[in-house]
Amino acid sequence: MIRKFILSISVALGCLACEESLPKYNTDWIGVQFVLDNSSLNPNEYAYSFIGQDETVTQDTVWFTVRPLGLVPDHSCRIKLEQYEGTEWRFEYGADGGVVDSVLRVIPRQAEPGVHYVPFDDERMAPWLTLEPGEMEARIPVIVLRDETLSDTTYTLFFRIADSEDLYAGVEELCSVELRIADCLSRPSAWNDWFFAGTWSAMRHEFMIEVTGEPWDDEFIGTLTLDDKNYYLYVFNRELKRVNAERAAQGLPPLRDNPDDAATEITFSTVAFF
Amino acid sequence: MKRYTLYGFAALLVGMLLTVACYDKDNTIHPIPDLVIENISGGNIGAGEMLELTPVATMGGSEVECTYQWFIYRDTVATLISEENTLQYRVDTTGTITFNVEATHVETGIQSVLTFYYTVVPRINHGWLILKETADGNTDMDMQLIQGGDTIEFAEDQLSLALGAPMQGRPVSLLWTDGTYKYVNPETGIEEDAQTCLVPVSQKDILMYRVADEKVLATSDELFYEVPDFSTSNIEAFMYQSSLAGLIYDGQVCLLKTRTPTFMPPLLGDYHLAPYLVCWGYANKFVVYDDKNCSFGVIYPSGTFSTTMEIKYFPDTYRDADDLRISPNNMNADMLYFGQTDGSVDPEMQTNNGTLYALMQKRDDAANVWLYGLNNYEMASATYGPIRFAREIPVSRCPEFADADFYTMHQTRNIMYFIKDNVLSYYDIDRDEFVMDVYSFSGEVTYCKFINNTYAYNTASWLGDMYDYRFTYLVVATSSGDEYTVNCFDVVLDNLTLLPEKTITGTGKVRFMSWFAPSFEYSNDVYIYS
Repeated sequence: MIRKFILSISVALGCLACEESLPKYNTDWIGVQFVLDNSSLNPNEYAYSFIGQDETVTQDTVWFTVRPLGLVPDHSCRIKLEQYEGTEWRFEYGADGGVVDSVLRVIPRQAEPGVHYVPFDDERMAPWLTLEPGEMEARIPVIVLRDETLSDTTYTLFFRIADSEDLYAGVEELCSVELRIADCLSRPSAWNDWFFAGTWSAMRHEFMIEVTGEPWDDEFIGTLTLDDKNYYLYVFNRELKRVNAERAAQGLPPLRDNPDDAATEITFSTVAFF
Repeated sequence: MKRYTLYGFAALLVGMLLTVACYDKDNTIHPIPDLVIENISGGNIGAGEMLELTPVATMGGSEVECTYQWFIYRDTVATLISEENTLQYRVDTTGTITFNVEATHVETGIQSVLTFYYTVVPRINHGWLILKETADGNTDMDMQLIQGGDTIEFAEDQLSLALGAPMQGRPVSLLWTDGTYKYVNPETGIEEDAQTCLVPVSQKDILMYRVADEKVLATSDELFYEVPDFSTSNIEAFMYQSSLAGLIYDGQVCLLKTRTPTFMPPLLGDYHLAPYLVCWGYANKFVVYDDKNCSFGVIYPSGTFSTTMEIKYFPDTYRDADDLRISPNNMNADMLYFGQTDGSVDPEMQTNNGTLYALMQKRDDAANVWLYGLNNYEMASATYGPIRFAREIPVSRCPEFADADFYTMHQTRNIMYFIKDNVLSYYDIDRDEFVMDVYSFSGEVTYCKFINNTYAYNTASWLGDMYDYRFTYLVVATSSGDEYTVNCFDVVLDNLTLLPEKTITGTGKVRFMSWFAPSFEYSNDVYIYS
C-alpha cells in the first residue's frame, strides 16, 4: 500500500516538475523610435522649404513624432539625435546590362549644423528632446535655419536617434530620417519616382503651383485621391497647352524641365494609376 | 496461483460491468430531436415598411414553446432588436438586411439559430419619372410609381420635398445612374461606390437623388471640380450611359466618368456644341454637332490609359462604298433636330448599326432643310465620314416640318414625328412622305418623345420578382391652365392609338419623362432618351 502511495506521489511530482519557469520581463530596456508614415513609399524622407515664407522668417521647425519601446518611461528621459553622413551606392553597368562596378559615395550638399539647422546638442533643443514619464508619444523638433546657400540649393540632413543614458535607439529603419532643407523649390518626399505628375524638376513644380494655386508639398499631396490626381492632370495639360501657346506667340520654346535642354520638354500623362 | 485467479476474476467482473453499462436494453438510441425554426424566410420589403414575423419552433415535428431573441447585423456587429415572439421591425436602412433569430426551447434550454435576409426595395422601383416646369419657371419632379402588382402611387413635387424648394431654372433632363455613381460622403470622406441615383437636371442645377432612400447626395456645387457660372449660362443637354455622362452648358461639354464623383472641366478646344448628346445602343460614346465649326464629332469615354480631353472630329475621308462622300465638317448649317433610331441607313452595313438623323438648315439657304443620316458604325473610331444619307427638302413642301416645336424619332423605323402648333404629323423618311394632322391636341404641347421601353422586364425567376412593363409609346404632354396631361399613344407600325387609361395628370408643364426600371437592361437602352 505504501509502495502504491509513494508511486502516486512520484507521478504527481513528476507532473509538477514539467511546469516551465519563464524568465522575468527585461524591465531595464526602454527604447525610442520615430513614428513614420508607413503608407509612403519613402517613409524616412522628409522635405522642408522656406519658399513662400515671409522674408523675415529666418528659422522654422519641422516636427517629428517618436514613441517609446519596451516599458513606458517612469522618469524624464533624454532623446539623443545625431547627424550622420549620408551615402549611396552608384553602379556602373556593362553592355549586357549587368553591374560591372559599384562605388559608395558620400551624398553631396549635406546640411551643416549651425548653418542649416540648430545643432542637436544646442541648449535650445534640450527641453524638447525628452520623453516624459508615462508619455506614449512625443513630438520632437528639428529647427531649420534660412541660410543664403539654401536659396538655390537643397541641403540634406541625415540624422538618427542614438542611444542615450536613458533611452536606446529602437528599430534601426525607424530611427533614421532624411530631411531635405531648401529655400527654393525642393522635391517633396511624396514626389517619388512613380509620382503621377512625372519626374521632379523645379520648373515643373513651379508650373504646377502656379496653375493650381496649391502648394504641392507633402501635406497637400497627401490629401489627393485618385480622382483628384486625374483632375489635376487635366488641369496641367490644359494649362500647359495655354502656356506653351503664349510662349510660342512670344517666340519662346515650350516649357522644359531643364530650360537649356530641348529634350526635356514638359509633358504630363492624362491618367493617374494610383 | 490463487492470487492470479483473484486478479483474473476481478478483471472479468469489471469487463462484464462495462458491457452491461453500455448495453441498450431496447437496442435503440433516442437522440433529442433538433430544434427547428419554421415559418421564417427572407424576401423583399419596401423601404420604411413594418416587417412582422412570427416563427414556429418544432422538435421532432411537434410544435414546442420557445423564447426568442432577434438580432440585426450592422456590418459584423449583431444588435438585439427584439425579445418578443413576434418580430415587429420598421425597416430604416437600404440594401440587404441580415437578421438572426435565436430560439431557446423552454423545457430543455436547447437553442437554434436561423439567419435570413431581406432586401429593401426602394419606393422608386418601376414607373414614370416626370420632370416638370413649375409656375415660376423652375423645376420639380412628379413620379407615378408601381407599388406591388397594379397599385400605383402618384407622388408630386418630390424635389421640393427633398430640397425645400424646386431646382432653379427650367427642366432639362431626368435620367439615372444605374449603380454607377461614386458618392464621397463629405462628412466621413468615405466613398460609397455604385450608387443608383436619379439625376434631375435643370438649367441651373444638377442633383444626385439616391433611389434607395431618396436623399439628395450631391448638387452642382459638389458635382464639379470647377463649378460653372450658371448665373450667366444654362445647362442645355445631359446624357448618362454606364461609362460616360455628358453635360452641355453654354455650348461647352463636361464629362463625368462613371464611378467617379465629379464632372471634369469642359473639354478643350474652340467649339460650341448644339444641345444634343446623341448615342446609340450600348455605345458609351456621344455624337455631337459643333455649330461653331459646323462639324460633327464624337466624345469618347476616358479609358484606362488616357483621359478624354477633346472632341474627336470626323475626318474628310470616306469608305470606298460611300458614294455620297459628304464632308461632316464645315457644313455651314444649324442643327434643327438630332436624334437616333435603330434602323440602318447604310446599304453596306445593314446589320443593326443604328442611324443618327440630323435635320439641318444651311445658313445661306432658308428655302430648304437637309436631312442627313449618320451611320452609327462610324462612331467606333471616327476614322471615316459618317454621313450615308442626305436629302434636301424644300421648306415649301412642309413649312411645319422646318419649323416644328418638337421632333422625335421612331425608335425602330425611319419615321420622324413632329408637332407644330399642337398638331402631330410625321415624315416617313423611306417613302419621302409627309403624313399631316395625325392628331390635334388641346392646350399647349410641352413635350413629345417616342419612348420604346424595351428594358423594364424580368422573365428570369432567379433574378427576383418577374414583371413585364415594356411598351412602345409616343408620349405627348400638354398643358392647360396649371394642369398637365400626359397622353400615351400605343404605336403599331404607322398606327397611333391613344390609351386613355394611361393618361397622367398633374400640376405644371411636363418637359421630360423617363420610365424608371432597376434592371441592368436599362444601361443598354438608355440611348432612347438621347
